[in-house]
Amino acid sequence: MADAEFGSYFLANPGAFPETVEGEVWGDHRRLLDLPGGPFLITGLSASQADLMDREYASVITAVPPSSDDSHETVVLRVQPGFFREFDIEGWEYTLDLDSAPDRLRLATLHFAALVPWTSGATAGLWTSVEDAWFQGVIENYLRVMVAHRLLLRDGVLLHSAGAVIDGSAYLFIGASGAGKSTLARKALEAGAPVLSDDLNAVVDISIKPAVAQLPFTGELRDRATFDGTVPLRGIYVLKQGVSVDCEPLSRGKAAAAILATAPFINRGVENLDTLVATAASLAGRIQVARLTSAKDSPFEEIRRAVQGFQG
Amino acid sequence: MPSAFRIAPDVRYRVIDDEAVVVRQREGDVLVFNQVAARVIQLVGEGLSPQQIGDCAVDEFDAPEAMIREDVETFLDELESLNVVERLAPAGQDS
Repeated sequence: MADAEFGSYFLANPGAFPETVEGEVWGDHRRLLDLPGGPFLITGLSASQADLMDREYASVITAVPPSSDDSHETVVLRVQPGFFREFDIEGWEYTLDLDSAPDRLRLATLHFAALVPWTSGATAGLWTSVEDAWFQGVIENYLRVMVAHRLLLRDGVLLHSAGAVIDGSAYLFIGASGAGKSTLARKALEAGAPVLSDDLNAVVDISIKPAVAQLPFTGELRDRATFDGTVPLRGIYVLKQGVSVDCEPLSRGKAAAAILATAPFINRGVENLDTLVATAASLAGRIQVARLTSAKDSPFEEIRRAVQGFQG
Repeated sequence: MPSAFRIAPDVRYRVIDDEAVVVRQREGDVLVFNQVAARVIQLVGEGLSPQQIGDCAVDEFDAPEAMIREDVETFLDELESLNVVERLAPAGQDS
């Protein structure tokens, strides 16, 4: 039985949310994306949906092997526009309904609904009514959630953060919305430091040697992120507005708490919380985490000196 | 005798060094507690009664007994008001 509240803002009939992954596919195209936590195999695509993915994710699309047992498969299924509730998106800030249970995850938002069974080898279903430019938002918002969940099972974590590369090492800057992540990323770019993302970064190999892996999901600097690949993680900084540049170490507990607070999606279901808490604690024990105070007009060079000096 | 408590079902915690990191899933936030509160949370998680928690704290912390017991009660009240722990039975009844 479907939850009474789940999906009520986005679905015309939330009670009719599919309980199994079945329906009419859009087409027979498929794409395999080599993303952290993946690979992710997307099947059932129409030609235009596949073309759109080729354009947006060229850097992470790989050839589909004859047998892709290692990948997590999602089939894209067609529903009529009336499946979704109409609402005015003018001024609407993106939100996503997420209903997490031990055996499955349900998602509902603008233009799509998804059912993700956690049974090994099970195929997830992504129901959408769009194949035009709107599909880019559909697939990206779906993949963000999938990367967050799957990465956690593979010794990693997705963090809302700005990531910059300084002298071959990655530094992540975290903080609440408005803390200055995009501003800092912009300053880094202007100063010639490669930027991983100003929105989401994937930390991988936490128990071995933490590193930041490239993601094709970026925020305001989507077309200006300048780094592809994986780079060792040197430090995480919690941004704080102030009058001058200063670094202050955080205890491991406070560091883990700061990391937990910036992990998107997965902290919205109790099923993954134990793993998430353990992962944050592990990362806080391996990476220097500090509070970075800076002013809006602090030059990036001053910030760079402070974070590198702090790391010794 | 004060009623017993348990960790709220939507709460996960981990003691890191001397601090407790507590995630409240329903509220969607993360709290950090000091050493004494961290120990109280741990002992609630182990199923100890407030009396037993007080006894442990008296053994473990170097401060006057009355002050420690008062601190434990205060922390339990605070944790309950923050929905980190839940009361198992009405105050004044054994559980």
